[in-house]
Amino acid sequence: MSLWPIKTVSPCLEYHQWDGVKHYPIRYNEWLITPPRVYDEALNSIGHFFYEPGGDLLVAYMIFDTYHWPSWACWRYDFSAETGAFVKRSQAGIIAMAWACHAGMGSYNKIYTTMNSSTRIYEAPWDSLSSGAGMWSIDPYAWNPKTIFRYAVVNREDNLIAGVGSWTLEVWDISGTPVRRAQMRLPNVLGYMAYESRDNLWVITQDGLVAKANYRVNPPRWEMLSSVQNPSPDARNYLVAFDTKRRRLAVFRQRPDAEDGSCQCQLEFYRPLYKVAGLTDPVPVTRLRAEEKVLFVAHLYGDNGEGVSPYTVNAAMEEPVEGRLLTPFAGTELNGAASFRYQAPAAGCTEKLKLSATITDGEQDG
Amino acid sequence: MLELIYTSNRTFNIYSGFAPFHLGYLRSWDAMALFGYQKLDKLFRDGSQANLGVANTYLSMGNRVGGRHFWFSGSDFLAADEITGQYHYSEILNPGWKPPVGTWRAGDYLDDVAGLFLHSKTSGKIEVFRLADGVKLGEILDPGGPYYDNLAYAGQGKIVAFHHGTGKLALVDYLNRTVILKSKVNPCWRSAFDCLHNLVITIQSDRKVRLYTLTPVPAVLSPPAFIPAAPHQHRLLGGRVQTRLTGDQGEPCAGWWVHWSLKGLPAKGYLLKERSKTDADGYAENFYFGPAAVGEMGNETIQVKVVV
Repeated sequence: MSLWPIKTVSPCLEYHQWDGVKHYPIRYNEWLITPPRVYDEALNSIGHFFYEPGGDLLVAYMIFDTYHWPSWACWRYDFSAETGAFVKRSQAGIIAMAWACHAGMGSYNKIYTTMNSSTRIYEAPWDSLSSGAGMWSIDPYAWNPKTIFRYAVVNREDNLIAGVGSWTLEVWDISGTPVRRAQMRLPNVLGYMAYESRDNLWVITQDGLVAKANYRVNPPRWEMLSSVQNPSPDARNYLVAFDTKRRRLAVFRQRPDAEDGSCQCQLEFYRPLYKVAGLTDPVPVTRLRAEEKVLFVAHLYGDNGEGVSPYTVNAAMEEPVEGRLLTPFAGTELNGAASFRYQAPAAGCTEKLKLSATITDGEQDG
Repeated sequence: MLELIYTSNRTFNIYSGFAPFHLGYLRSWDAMALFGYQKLDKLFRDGSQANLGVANTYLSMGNRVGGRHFWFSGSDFLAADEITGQYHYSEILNPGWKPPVGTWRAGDYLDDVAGLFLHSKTSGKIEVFRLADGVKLGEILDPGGPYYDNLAYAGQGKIVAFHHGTGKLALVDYLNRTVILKSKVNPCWRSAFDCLHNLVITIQSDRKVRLYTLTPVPAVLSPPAFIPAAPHQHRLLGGRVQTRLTGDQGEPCAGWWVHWSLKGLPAKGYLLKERSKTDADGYAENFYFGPAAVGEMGNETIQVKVVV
């Protein structure tokens, strides 16, 4: 399985333009208004990114550098989950920006967050992330071994917590005394993590690899590994949220500002559907002999080398043909392999085998 | 020397100037895991590659039964995930035995079905341990053999042991602890064995993938000899004559057509067949009948040749 890009909103943010007035004597972040830059703010980092099902929004909590006092600003950005369009931005408080670590959607369509200010995982209101009395919480530091998560997916229906502290995805069964079910190494440093369902979750790494895990089975397992479309080497981070209404992934790609200071971040939407990246050359896997049958194997693969199936790969010999192609087409196996048989003629010869596949996604932009 | 059947046109990227740590063929991928200094990649036979993230270079990669791989953490053999290629900390394949230093090496082999661990110990010696408790069950000896770098799964109870510096390799039956075949390929950086198609895979510093069949290229065709030795042949009684085709390492070449002829002009006597195929041990045979004319005597030479 690979990811099929549906649409990209680029840029997804617009900065406030500088009014041209310099403030004396105290000025902050003068680099913001140093030509050719023309905006008096710039995105610094993103604390949280998640899908909020109640309002059908994608929500991002961001810290900005500003030219004005006090040199920084904290905003909650709301985007339409359907179109990716900017809806509004609101001031975010210190709890969301400093105390809460990384928030995401979990069971019962609630938002849960890990904390910088403690080792607990809290249920929290989406619009402030300030947990209140009576809201669910749990402390992984009380488990054996003591655990601190920076990212967590909460499945209260099945009493499962999947979390990441550093390089491994851990799955804990909290139905009784918490028990660690598995530790699975991540392909790279985590960018963000998102709940999909009681069974599955998604992770994205800081270099744009996207992986899906089934965390409910015991032992848990990775189900796919793919990547965002055209991962850019200049990207500072990637964050992922899962839109449970449309069953698709939203990826926030944080990129450095353009030369004039304008934002280049983008929101990308993906469906977990086939996307073919390439077809390898047909390679002989049996010896090449006159009068003998020769087996060739090629692979149809996705962005991260994942086998793409089921597709039909067509084979044709280029003129002049001396031997005989016995398998004019073949279906791909789960690993994307397609095999072809060729009957060599009695005398030595040079032949060319050409392969092709017709790729259809069958999906329309929602 | 094994028969080279394919060299990729594409060159793969290693992201650094150093040879990758390990190359392993994964049966479920029908492709290789390339464990480099900076990245972990999936490598196809034609040299196409896809990045799967980064690997932990503090760990070593080994080969596992069935065309899989595992990671060695220094004390634990960790099962590898076949989607990401990374390891699962919680899936330890050696819960009852923590191998001490000197009993493991990158490229060693683990058969958790038969409960065995194979370690390339020194030149021409592979040690066999019981995985459950580390008891040494025996050794596979290859006198004069090299210090094998990689022990790759080749089929039920078999591995191919590679020495990269010389390209020497041995097909080993590790259940019976015998060496079945010895041959070589070109010296290489890293090696793997495609257990699905029985192919030796190597990568070299030109960053191309090479495929070899497990059949040696013929190098030596022995002079035909009568079996049993019989210098005088009569016209009515055919003499059984045999030749043997071998590679440059003395390995038998099976399935090759040997063409037979008589050198004399005119020929004295005749051969039963014009060509015959070598058997699994590289032998091909024919029958020679002496001259048909009564009282005809003389010498005759039997010629054999193979078209490679």
